[in-house]
Amino acid sequence: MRWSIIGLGNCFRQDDGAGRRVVQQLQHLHPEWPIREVSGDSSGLMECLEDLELAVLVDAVSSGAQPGTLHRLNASDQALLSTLHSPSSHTLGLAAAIELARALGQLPSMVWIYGIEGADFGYGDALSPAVEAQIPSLLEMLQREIPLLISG
Amino acid sequence: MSKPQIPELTDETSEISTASTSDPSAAPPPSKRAARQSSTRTIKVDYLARVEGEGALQIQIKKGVVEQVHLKIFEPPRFFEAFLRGRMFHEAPDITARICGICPVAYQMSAVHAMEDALGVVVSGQLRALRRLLYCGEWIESHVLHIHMLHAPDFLGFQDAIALAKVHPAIVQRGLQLKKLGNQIVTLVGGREIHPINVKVGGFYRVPTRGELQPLRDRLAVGLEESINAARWTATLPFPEFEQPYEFVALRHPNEYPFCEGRLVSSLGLDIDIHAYPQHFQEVHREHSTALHSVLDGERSYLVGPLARFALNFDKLSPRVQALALELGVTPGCRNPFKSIIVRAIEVVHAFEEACRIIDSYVQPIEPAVEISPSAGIGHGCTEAPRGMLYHRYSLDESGQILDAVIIPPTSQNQGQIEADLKAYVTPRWQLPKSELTWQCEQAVRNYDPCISCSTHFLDLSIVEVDSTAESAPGHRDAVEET
Repeated sequence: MRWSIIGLGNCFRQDDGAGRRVVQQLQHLHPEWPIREVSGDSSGLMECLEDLELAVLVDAVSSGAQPGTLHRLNASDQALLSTLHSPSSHTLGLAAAIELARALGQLPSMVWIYGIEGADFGYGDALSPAVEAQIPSLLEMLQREIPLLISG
Repeated sequence: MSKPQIPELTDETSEISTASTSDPSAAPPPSKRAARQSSTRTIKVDYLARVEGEGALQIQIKKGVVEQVHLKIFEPPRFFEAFLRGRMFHEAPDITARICGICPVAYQMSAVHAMEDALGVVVSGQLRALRRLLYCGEWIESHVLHIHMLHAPDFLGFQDAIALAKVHPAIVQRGLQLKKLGNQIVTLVGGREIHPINVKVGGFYRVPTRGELQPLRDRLAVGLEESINAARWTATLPFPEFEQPYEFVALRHPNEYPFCEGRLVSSLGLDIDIHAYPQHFQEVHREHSTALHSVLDGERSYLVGPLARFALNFDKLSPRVQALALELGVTPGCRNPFKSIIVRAIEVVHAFEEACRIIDSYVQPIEPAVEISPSAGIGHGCTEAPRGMLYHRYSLDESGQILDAVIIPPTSQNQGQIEADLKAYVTPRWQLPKSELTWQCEQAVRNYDPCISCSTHFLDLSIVEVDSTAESAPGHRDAVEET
């Protein structure tokens, strides 16, 4: 199966870098897994999705939930709630990149998004304590579920 | 980015409505008193989509006459100019690149040229050619993204690029492929797609080999053909009839369609060395914005950008690109800002041609950069960013430390002209339904591909109708409720 884990986010915007931290640690635990990182601009995401059958995306989320809350979303069969809002019109947010790929018929048949609710998205490279505390749980979830997705 | 939502009534408007039904003998509070004398209607759109950065637009209409158009750009007051002071000359390209995520090459090019001007250095030959190649990459990626993702949806009534992609997937797909080629040029020559790391005063840290450029060259050949198809498509879009008597300002070079070098010229006869920029161009403060407005020779608004370059340098395009432009119905005298989308597409074709030419003649330089010795001096740099002429000026002390910096981006130079355009555009159309007028105003702002980066607020569009009749007029209230 052609698959990839993709960590997204901007490491200089505190919790926005959580997705990338998680996949970096995942790579240590599983050097054999195909893992990539995409920085704040998700327009590179569409290229990462090309020709995949399964994409596992890991990103920080800002949905109003309790910081540290873990989210899991199947993006293959439902349109993402998207206003395409992005701090910059010249970058694509995650939802926008996925919906654009979908509109162009380029979305992998399986796309799973694992999110961790952030608390602070200010300037800096440290994660907030609430997010830091939940990283092990998210890693555990990914290590448990990804093998199921690959084999499924 | 959603289409402007059905505008909501502001609190102020609701208060006016209720005030008129409350006890008429009670003196309204001062703010409401003023409102009662000249009732205002404020329609607020949450943010202007598909514009880089943030800003606000307010249009004031009285008795059917557009009295004022204010484009408010909430720009952090010149932090970059301030914190460049005390930095070393060689840090300027990397620091100023951070002003913009979509045109960092432009900032780097204006910075290095200004520093080299101050230090008495000329970068020529293949290093000069590599800089032009890098700039080709940025023009391609910036213009293509704007054309397809930001501007075209307007013309076709789509709320965003995703809606456009659902109906015209091949068009959007082609746009993404073209943009990718622009990114590849920037990555190969600049070392990184965003905020290139390979640019320095004097040249580059590393230059590519011919072998590294060849695979790109093959892909660019395909890109060139596709860019011509894309340009032909932009000419099929529906364009409003609208022209403005612009004074165009751009660089002009004796041999080339301009990137980094040339004299500064205008369509009304300006023809100056770039060192004379401060004598002719001034920035004036306007109360409604922290941004400074740029004026030419005292009071004239002017236009920089693709339309200006095209008007002033048409003869420097290749015969094939000139023929394409004429085929597509744009001549150097084009003053319809909506047709800037076609001109951007033509500049993309030119950029692909130029990139191919540069790679075909490329001989790897022996040294990646020219030797630099710091010295005291003042240097000016004018280069053509995708959005227009970008001016840098630095003062250096004898150790090469920056004493002073002036950075004037193209979008701020265009601010006065954007306002003038909107005033002229709205004047005959002020009676259109609000949502339709709002949409068209946003489209008119997007004609400029404005880069209001580093701003911190949304672009709000508010159309304030100042009507001297009393707010109790039923027609007024009906119209308010209709929105």
